[in-house]
Amino acid sequence: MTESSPRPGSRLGFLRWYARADLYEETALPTTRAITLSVALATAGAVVALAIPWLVGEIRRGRQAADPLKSCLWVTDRSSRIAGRSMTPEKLETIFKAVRARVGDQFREITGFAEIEKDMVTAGGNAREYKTLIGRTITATDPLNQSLGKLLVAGRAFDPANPGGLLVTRQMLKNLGYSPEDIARIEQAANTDKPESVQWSSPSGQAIPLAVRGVFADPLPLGHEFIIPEAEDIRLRSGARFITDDVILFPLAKGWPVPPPGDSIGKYVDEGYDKETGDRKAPYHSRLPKSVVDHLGKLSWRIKLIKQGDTFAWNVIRLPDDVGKPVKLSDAEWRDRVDQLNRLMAEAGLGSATDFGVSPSDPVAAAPPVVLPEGHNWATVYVHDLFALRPVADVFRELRLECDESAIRQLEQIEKDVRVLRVILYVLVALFALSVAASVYHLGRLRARQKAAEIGMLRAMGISDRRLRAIAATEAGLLWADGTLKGLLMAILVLGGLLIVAGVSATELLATTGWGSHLLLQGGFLLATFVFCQVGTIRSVNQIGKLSPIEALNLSA
Amino acid sequence: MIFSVREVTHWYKEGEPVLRGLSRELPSGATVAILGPSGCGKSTLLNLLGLLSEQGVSEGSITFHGGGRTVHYDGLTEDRAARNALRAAEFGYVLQSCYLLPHFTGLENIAMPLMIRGRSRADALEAAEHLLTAVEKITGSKTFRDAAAKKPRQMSGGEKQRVAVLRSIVGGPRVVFADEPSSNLDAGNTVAFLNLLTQWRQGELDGRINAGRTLFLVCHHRETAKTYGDWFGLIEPGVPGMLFFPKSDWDQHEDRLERVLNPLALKVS
Repeated sequence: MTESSPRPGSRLGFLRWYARADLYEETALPTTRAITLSVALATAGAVVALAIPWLVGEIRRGRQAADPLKSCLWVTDRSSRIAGRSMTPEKLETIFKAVRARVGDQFREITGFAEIEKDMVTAGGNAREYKTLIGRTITATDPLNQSLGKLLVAGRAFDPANPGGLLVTRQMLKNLGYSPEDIARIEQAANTDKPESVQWSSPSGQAIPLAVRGVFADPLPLGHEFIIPEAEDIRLRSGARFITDDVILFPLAKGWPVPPPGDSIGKYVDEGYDKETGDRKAPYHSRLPKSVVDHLGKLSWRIKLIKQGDTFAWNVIRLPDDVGKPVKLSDAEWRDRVDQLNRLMAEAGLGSATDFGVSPSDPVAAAPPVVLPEGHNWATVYVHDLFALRPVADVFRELRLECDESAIRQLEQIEKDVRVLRVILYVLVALFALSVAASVYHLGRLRARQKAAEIGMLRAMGISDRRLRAIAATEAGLLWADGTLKGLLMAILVLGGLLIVAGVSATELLATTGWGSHLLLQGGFLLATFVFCQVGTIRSVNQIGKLSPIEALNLSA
Repeated sequence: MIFSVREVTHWYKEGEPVLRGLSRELPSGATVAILGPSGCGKSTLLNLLGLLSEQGVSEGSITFHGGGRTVHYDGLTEDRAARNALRAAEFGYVLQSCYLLPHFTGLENIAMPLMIRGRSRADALEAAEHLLTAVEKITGSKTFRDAAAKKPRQMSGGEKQRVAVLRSIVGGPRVVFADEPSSNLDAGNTVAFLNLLTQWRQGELDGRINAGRTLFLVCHHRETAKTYGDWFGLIEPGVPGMLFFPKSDWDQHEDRLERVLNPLALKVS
């Protein structure tokens, strides 16, 4: 009727307008909603199922990587002939070179630390019971030093303004006999400028108060119960030296066996001698007569080897039954005991010491300087990527060094968990997607059949096959987009809820790596659903479109 | 002539032809009323002429003459695009059930053939509006415009049929096929829409007189056919061919028409 100057329409505009009217008109809404919901559920289910294993793996790995105690390997050299602090700077250099050669840029830092054994920390100078604790030093360059704050539940890490004191575990405080109320008080004080102190027994036996600067909630690795800065360790060892009335210092008599430099004579005398077999355990004691070892053991003395110039001395400390109530010995009693020791040595054919047994009037001046151990006995190796821990552990094996592989075990456990989770969720999503796909397909077919008359009429009007398919494709695209957007929203809500329940912070989530490959996977799934929607819908419309207009019209009738 | 029908035989089931040996030149510029009892093949003929049935004639040939061209339907059997193009350009349809697109307003339904042909939506709606105005002017009735504002589910049967009629003619077809369009309508609505189709054919709506427009009308009622038809085709079951005659010969075929179209009435009498 009106043929004058027709304006060509935008093909896309017509398709969009037609599809929107066709899908979202009131009577079409129930079917549209059903299909949209199916797509949304499939999308949400799949996105969540695809995301969970990835997020679990990434977040757990991220947490491990952020944990300074679980993102490194500890290595020591127990095979060394020289016991104790054998992790010398030269050895650290060797390890550094070997690790760098193996993992390249993934190497981050290597730092040594000294394990502190046999030194004592007692409770406020009035211990309920005597405990031997194990701790470690920390250097300023150790990455752990920068991360300690994350591990503390009270107080703060070492820094220039806070250079000394102790960081302790709650368990250590319990071991020292502190009540929960005491521990709470110590934690509270650690947050102030006036922290509470515990007593540290220096190598010379002096009780020195050390401020508790921070408290760890969790146990530390390698059985450590406290951390002190290396400078604090040196200060303690080189600090006040004196002889108390339960300590006696005497030089080794002429002819007495001299231990090799750096060697230990054993923890306690009675540990140096096996009463069952008669064997000597400690290297030095094996060279002492049994009668001497028995005598020292009977007295329950602790003996430390002290070197002063070329002279070796025994620092014999009587272990009191109760540190809070030291047993005072008179000079006469000391002399009796040392006399007996000297006599036993003489009976064994050894010479006798001449100038021992007298407590010096000026203990500090009389005491020999404490021998400070050199180097460290452990090293920590940090890497940038947790997956580089394995090759680093291989390096240690090749160097015949002993390594604590708990970080690797944790990493392997994460991978195993993620694998299992992935299999379970992928199977579930496949089943879910199949069932939803079937319902989408059948709803699409049903819809096409319901629309047979409409298709027939459009064909009677002369619509081309291409335009009919374009309408179907546009409608499928809109259904897909609508369903996918809703599904993604649902997935975000579900995942957000799960992340909140799991206590994952936004920072932690943003720090997650591997987004690219994961989003590619998710995109692949969305593309698959898009193709499926397109193919399903176009196929259904094609089936109707193949009919003649009158057949299509009769089909709906 | 608008169609040349040559020895057309058509069957849906082998051995049971619906149309047999039908040959006829069908005139253009006229209203051709096809008459016959139910199942005789009236709609089949219309569907074959209007390319609504794509199975093609089982035997014989149909040729369309229009717009200065000649199209042999046999050549279109495998060419869907050509059939689509011919339907879009030359034909309009008014079917018994209207088949309006349910999610669009009456006006949008009217404009749809134009949009399908590629006209812009605004342009197509403007053309539909223009047609409505012309119809309103010539009929003096607002019922068409009222129907155009509604969605199909809100329309009465008569309103649907009005929209269907306007949809069939909006694209300026050369031929409109109306297959028993009045079967569900009351007398008033029947008259209204047949008048409109007649006015379209005669060019009263757009001033294109003698444009050679043809209306094929399948109807049951003899009186309706007689009123609006210029030529008549009577198809009798089992009888080869089709009785085809002009309005001037109506009287001489009236008995036969009565016999064929109302056999029970004859028996009772």
